[in-house]
Amino acid sequence: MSRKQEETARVAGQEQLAEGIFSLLLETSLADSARPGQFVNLYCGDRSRLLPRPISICEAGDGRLRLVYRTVGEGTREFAALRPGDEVRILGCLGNGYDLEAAAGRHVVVTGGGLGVPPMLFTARLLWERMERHDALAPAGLTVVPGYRDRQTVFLDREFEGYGRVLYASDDGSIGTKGTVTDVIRAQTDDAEVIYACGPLPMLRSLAGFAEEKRGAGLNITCYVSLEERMACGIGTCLGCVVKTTEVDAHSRVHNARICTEGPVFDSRQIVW
Amino acid sequence: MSERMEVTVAGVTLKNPVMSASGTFGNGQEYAEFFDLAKLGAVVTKGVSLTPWEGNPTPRVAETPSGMLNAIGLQNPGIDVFIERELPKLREVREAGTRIIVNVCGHSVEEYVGVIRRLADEPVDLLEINVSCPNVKEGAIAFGQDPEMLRDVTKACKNAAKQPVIMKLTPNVTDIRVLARAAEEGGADAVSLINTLTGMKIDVERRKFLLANRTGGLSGPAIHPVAVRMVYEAAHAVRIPVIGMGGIASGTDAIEMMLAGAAAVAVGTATLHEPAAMPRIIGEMEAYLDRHGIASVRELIGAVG
Repeated sequence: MSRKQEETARVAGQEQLAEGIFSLLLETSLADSARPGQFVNLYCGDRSRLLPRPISICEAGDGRLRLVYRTVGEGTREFAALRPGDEVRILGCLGNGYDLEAAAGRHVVVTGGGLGVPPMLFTARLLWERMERHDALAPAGLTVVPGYRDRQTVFLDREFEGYGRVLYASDDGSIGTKGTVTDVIRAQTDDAEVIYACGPLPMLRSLAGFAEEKRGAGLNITCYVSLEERMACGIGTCLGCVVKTTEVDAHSRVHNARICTEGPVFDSRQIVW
Repeated sequence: MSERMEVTVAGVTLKNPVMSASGTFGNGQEYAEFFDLAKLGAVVTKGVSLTPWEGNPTPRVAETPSGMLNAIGLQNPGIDVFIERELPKLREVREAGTRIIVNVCGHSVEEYVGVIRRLADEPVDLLEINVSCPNVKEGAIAFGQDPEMLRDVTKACKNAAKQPVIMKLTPNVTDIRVLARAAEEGGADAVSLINTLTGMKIDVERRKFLLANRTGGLSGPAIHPVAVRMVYEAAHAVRIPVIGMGGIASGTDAIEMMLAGAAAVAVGTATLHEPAAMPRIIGEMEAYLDRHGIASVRELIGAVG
């Protein structure tokens, strides 16, 4: 795993994608070591907001990180006001990221729900590029399933076009198929062997259940879920962001894995749902 | 680093007065990626108990204005793993002259004593006894809020300990002087304060507690003036050294704590905002000595008034 670094990043651009959803482009040396499913800590300039904001990596490359986030409070509103040339303190890259090698030769579904959609762009692109260049680790097939509440909350949707088969899900059917991402995966894919997922807990729980059901029917399927929790340090010291695990984890010696360090990505079988 | 930054606590000389505050620094290894741990006066480890502790449900942390609440609940892998896996990683830092202070927690006097005995022949310079965690239901804070219980647990720890003993005190009391004196009467070699102030935060939109534990410990710059006042009171109530902590985020904050009477200082929440906060603070303290033409940082201890 690459070394974590704290540095000052330069804002290369920022655009609003939807109501309360922003895309921030940062020039930072962290971009080159970023892996899909990892996150960074952004620090507020206002020191009265002292905890870093963990934000998933939406895209990385050419010395730039793209972060797509929602403004939920004063801290993220401060980020939304950043303009090209501004500076922001950043720590990364954090967490384990998705095990993309597990995709080799298998049929893969990449799915994100709501604010879980952004990290799936980086994930889908890397998998697709491996397929295009017939890499030994390339998946046998790729289906991308972005899920949204409704047409008003859609963002990044068009950016998935070109990365394999793209199936949209929305709660009200105003974009793609009406239903959850699990409904779409169940009804419209019959060959998923590896699922990479990020999104709200009920979505991840339902996908974990889907994978369990398929395994019960004799299929070899692995479901990787990216979890979130309120964090403080982001590097594994404060033990703020733990999740209950089925096995005693090596670090804690209790049933608590650190989402920031052992995660945020877990095999769904590791988690107590 | 020159001798002018040296201080002595409980007979142990620290190369400078700055140490990590227990619980914000793990056992140091994660921060070794950001700065040389040997720059610190001491590394204070995450609290360790006799058996592994699971801690509290999540969410365990919440931000507050200029501060944060935590209710981790002293999750730790227990003394066996600590000795086998964590202590050896600190050997090099200790050989470079940084002191190792192990924070000890327990639900009962027997548990504190059990951990202390296990550490007797380990490469540990000082013990800090956590009788002040607000997030654990049994033991911990109860021992720190009643002067008689505090005196008794201090005695028991002292009888079992080979290393000097620091009692870590809670600010969640009516009169800190009474508790500081009780620790001194029990034989403590030093006291450290303040642990976190018990607080609560409610999500008004959802009408729910932000922390699963409902209450948590408040830390960060928000509590600094309270800490300075309590360190001042404790330092004037006892003859043993006081280690001051609570919201220190700059060299100025650290100097202020020493002027109030602290012989050394611990930095906690600032590290969460800035991984290399402690070496920066040490540099700022040295710059202060330069600016004021002060020969030794020891001259600052309790020098206000």
